[in-house]
Parts: sequence; C-alpha cells; structure tokens
Amino acid sequence: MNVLVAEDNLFTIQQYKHILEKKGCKVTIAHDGEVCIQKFDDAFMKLDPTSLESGPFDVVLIDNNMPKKNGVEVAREILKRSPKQRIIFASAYNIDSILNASEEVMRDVEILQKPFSLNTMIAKIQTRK
Amino acid sequence: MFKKTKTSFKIGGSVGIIILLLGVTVMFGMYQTSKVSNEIIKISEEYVPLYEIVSEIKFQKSIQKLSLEKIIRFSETSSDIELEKTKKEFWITGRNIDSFIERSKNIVDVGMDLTNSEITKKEFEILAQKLSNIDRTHNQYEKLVTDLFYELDNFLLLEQIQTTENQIEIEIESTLSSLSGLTEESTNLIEDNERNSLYGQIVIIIIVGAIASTLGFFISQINSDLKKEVDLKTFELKTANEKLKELDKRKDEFIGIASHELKSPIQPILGFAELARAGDIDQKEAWDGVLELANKLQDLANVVLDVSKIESNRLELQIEKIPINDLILEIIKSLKINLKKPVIIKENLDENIIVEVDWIRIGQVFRNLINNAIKFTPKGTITIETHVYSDENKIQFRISDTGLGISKDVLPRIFEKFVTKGLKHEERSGTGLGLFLCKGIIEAHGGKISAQNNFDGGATFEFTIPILNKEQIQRPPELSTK
Repeated sequence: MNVLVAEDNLFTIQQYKHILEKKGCKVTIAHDGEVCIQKFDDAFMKLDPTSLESGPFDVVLIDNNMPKKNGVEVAREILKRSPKQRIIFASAYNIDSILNASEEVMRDVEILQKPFSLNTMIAKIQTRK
Repeated sequence: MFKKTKTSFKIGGSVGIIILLLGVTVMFGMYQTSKVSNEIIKISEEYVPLYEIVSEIKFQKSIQKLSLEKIIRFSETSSDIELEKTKKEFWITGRNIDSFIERSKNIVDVGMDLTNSEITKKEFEILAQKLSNIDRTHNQYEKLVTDLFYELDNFLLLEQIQTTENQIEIEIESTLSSLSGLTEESTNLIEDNERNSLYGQIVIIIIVGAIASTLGFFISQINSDLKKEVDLKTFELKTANEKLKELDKRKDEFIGIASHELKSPIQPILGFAELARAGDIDQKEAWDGVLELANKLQDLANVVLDVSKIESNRLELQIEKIPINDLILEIIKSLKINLKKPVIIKENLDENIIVEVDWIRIGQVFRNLINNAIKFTPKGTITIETHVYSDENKIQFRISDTGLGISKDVLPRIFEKFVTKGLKHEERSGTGLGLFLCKGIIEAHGGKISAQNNFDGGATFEFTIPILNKEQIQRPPELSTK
C-alpha cells in the first residue's frame, strides 16, 4: 500500500512510519499541512490520467491539528484534485465539532479518534470503507 | 443610587398621603364654613319672626291707643255699655301685647343660646334690654290707664299717659329699626361668609393644584433621572456582559487548546509502549521517548497552571535579594551549552546591583525570551543588555536578536495566549503561552514588557522591573481584554 502521512509530532510520525513499513507499506511523510499538499501534488503529477480521480495514494492519513494548514483545509484541497482519494482523519479534537464545521469535507473522510492503538490504525487502513 | 421600584413606591405613597391630607383639609374647611353659615342663617331666621312680633306689638299698641281714645270719647257721651265694652277690648289688647312681648323675649333667649359669637350675643342682649324696656313702659302705661279709669277727666294723668305712649312708640320703632338693621347685617354676613368660604376653597384648590403640579414636576424629574440611571446601568451591564462573554469564549478556547495540548503526548507515549512491547523498537529508545514526552507534559501542565494563576491574579512571588548579573550570566551559560545553531550570545550588562525579585520567575522570563530569540534566529547574534536607573528605582533589560523579526499581524497581540502558536517558523515546539506568562510575571513584579522589530532586522524584547520591590507582595497583572 502507498500511504501519505501528515502529522506534526516527530515521535508519532516515526512510530507510524515504523509500523506501516513493517506491514509492507510505502510511506510518504509530511510534517505540516503545506508539505502534505506538496507531497500529494508531487505524486498527483506523476499519475496515470485514468487514475487521477482515485488519487495517487491508497490512503492519506491526516492529523487535524497541524501548523500552516489544518487537516480540514488539507483534506479539502486533496479532494478538489482527486474526489475519490481515500482519507483518514486522525484527531484528538472533539470529532463532532469538526464534523459540524466542515460537513462537506467530512462526508468523504474516515475518522480515527486519538489516542488510538497503532494496530487499530493498521486495521483501519487495511479495511476499506 | 436609585432603587427603581422602591423609589416609585415611595413617591406614589407620599403623593397619596399628601392628596389624602389635602382632601381632609378641604372637607374640614367646608364643614367649618357650612357650620358657621348654618348658625348665622339660624340666627337670622330668629330675627324675622322677632320683627313680625314687634310689628304686631306696634299694631296692637295702636289698637290699644285707639281703644283708649274711644274710652275717653265714650266717657264724654256717657255711653256706659260702649264704654265697658271698649275698656274690655283695651285690656284684651293689653294682654295680647304682654303675650307678644313674652314671646319676643323667649325668641331672644333662644337666639342668645344659639349663638357662639360674642357680638351677636351682645346684640341679642341689647334687644332683650329694649324688649324689657317696652315691657316696663307698657306696664307703666297700663297702670296709668288703670288710674285714669277712676278719674277720666284727670288731664295731668292723660298727659302722662300720652308721654308714656310716645315713649313706647319710640322704643318699638327703635327696636324695629335695629331689628331690620340686624337682619340686613346677618344677610350681609351670610353673603360674606359664603364669599369667604368660596375664596377659601379657591385658595385651597389653587394650593392643591400648585402642590400637585410641583409634585408632578419633581416626579417627572425623578422619573427621568431614574430612566437615565436605568439606561446607564443597562448599558454598563450590557458592556460587562459582553466582556464576560468574550472572557468566557477565551476561557473555553484556552481550555480547548490546553486540553488538546495535554492530550497530544498520549498518542506517542502509547505508540512507544506498543512498539516496545512488540519488540519493534529498542527498549531504550522507547523509554527515552516516553521520558521526554512526560517531561514535556509536566512543563505544559506547569505552564497551564501558571496561566490560570495569572488569569485569576493568584500568581505568588517569592521575593528575594539577588545580584541580577549573576542570575543572567548563569542562565546564558546553561543556554549556550545546548546551543546547536550558528548563533552568538553576547551580554552587555550594567552594574551588578542587588534586586528584589522572584528569581525563579524572572529566570523563567529570561529563558523564555532568549530561547525565543534563538528559535527565530537561524544565524546571527543575540544581545542581552541591562540598564540600571537607580534614581527611578528600576532596571531595564533588553534581549535583541538579528533573526526573522515579528510579523505585523502578530506584533500587536504578541503577549496574548496562543497568538504565537503554529507560526511559520514555530515548528510546533512551543505552547503559545510563553510570552503571556512573561507578561504576567513582569506585571506581577510591578514592571512592564514590550516587543518591537529592529530597523536592521530581528526583534527586541524589553522589560523593566523595580529594583526594590516596595510592596513585597504580588501586584495583580492587568488582564488584557482587547
């Protein structure tokens, strides 16, 4: 699986990388919202025109609370480019308030409430909606 | 200060009482005047029959006079039967006169009983006197006539009778004229009385009107004052309410962000534990990570605690005397050890004076400001300066860097909570509460802190604190509500 992970906590991102790579995933890392979009765009440009809609990654794992651009903004931009890109939202914030704030984005994303076990994350990534 | 309802109630009550009192006064006045005029009318009613009776006496007297003339005439013609008859008539008329005199005396007595006024009483006394004069003269007259009947040709006696008769007539006339005078007078008195009572009522009504309008004026004045007061209070409450709402919103925001910050190390701690247990990572790596995160969590908890202390004005200072330069140099030394950037820290310190501060808190401020300067200076120089103003009992500190400076959006709000969190070069390592804490600590010392950008790049933070802490107690920092 090809996974893009956006997370600002250095420890957390290393742990994600470690476990995902162990499960045989190819992991791309972004430390903030802007870098996440950059990395997405880089991959998006190299895509085969037939799979533009479903996006360049199997899963994009986004932390909501990031510097420069928050998770909702990042998700919105990604969905603009690839409406069928699978996105998992990881957040310690009250999920309901995020859902209310940006319903149209949150309809198309999956939720993973922090703190979660890394195995739960793997299970979530490996199971399709 | 007005208490709206109570004041209105008081005003209403006093107005009611005043109106009631005025009403009672008016009623009393009316009762009094009617009582007086009733008395006068009653008395004047006594005069009318009295006048009639005295006129009757006058009439009977003239009949008696005629009878006497007849008797004298008949005696000359020696008609005995006619003479006796006329004599009888004479005496009957005389008894009538006596009876009328008696009746008039009775009326005068009743009148005297009725009246309360001295003047009227005196008038009645004069009338009684006159009536008894008439009575006396009449008796004298009849006595003379009795004598005359024995010797009808006694001219001397006749002359005396004539004089007495004239005297009676004069007395009757005088009584009548004084009675008619009195009747007129009492009519005038009634009219006067009625006029006076009318004037009195008009005056009372005018006074009542004047009092009512004055009261009305004052009440409207008080009302408008009340309205102003209420408007002012409403405005103040509204402002206070808005301020409270704003503070509440900020507090909610703070709790939201703080709880998120406090929760966020849980995820990596769990991750370390999970990976270490599964043998995916080295035990030492996991423990180091957990320890670092735990320390961070502790720092954050302390910061949150300090913020809440500052916000509720409960930041307590342990004031001690310390040589300020020693403190600064020690802090710089420890920071230089961990410095991993091409940054030079220079110090340019004034006299090493003794200051009265909470050195742990002031140390916190220095570390915070110098660490910020390091964070935002990729390469360059950080300068720490002090200036002692002994005359003004203050010492000034400047921490300036040659770094990136502060963005214009942030600069006016830089000492507020979370303003600096998530900034471009912040890299997420800060809490966004450091400068808020610095401001709180400096203000608790009775000092001031400010930030500015340098002309030639970089930023300067400047703060002053008193050398001698006069109060030795905490000065509550002003809460920024902008």
